[in-house]
Amino acid sequence: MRDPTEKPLVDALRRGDEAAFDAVYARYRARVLGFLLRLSGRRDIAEDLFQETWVKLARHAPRLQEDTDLAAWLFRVARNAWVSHRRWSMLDVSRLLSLEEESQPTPRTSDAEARTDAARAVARLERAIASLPAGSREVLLLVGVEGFEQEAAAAVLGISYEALRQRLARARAQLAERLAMVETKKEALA
Amino acid sequence: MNPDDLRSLSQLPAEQPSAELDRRVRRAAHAELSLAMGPRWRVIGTLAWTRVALPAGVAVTVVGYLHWAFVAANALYR
Repeated sequence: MRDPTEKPLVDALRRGDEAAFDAVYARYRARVLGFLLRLSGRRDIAEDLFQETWVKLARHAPRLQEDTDLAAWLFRVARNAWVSHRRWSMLDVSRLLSLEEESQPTPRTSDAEARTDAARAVARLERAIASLPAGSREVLLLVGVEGFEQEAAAAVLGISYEALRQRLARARAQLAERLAMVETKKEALA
Repeated sequence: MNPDDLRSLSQLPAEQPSAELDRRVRRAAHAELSLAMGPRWRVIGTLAWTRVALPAGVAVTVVGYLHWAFVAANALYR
């Protein structure tokens, strides 16, 4: 659902107001970067795609629709930038190794950070998400982490609502399976 | 943490960009924004220069140099 406080921001962006751009950037930068980091699993790639996303917003600012949902717009552009990056990586033989790394992203929380129970739970969840296939990861990130409604997430991914529901159900089952595996390993070590 | 509960995923922390990344992104975006808001002829002119004229100029220069190098090398062996 679109945030009603966004309309003045969209109007100002359409007029090329830098302060409006900064306000939108401040509002969404952490979410967009977190999404790209979890999607790509690599900071260097995520930062490049992050810059590309914001430059695209600036380039398209005058052509934004009045009723643009900025969150959905930004996440759609960020996700498409990542898909495009993966496609180009497949054509570039020299980057096949890095693609291999990307297909199994490294979890973003280090063991040193996982001191408390809550931090350990977050670290486990990060690891489980990082081990999921890309299609499952992106749907869980949009619906679970970013809190998009399912219809909005389907629009971001460019798929039908029914397809999203199926992908989400599959992704949740995979996540539960990965978390159970982590628990089993933990018990075996204890 | 219940894996069936999607809300548990919302506990995952957001990621603040570094100050350097912040600066870089905002500088690039502000430049793009002022370009996008400029006169239409300037937008078209910039796009024509960066995406057509400049790449075409580089390609013509490279092909011209290779042609010259080939002809010159051939002349040496005659």
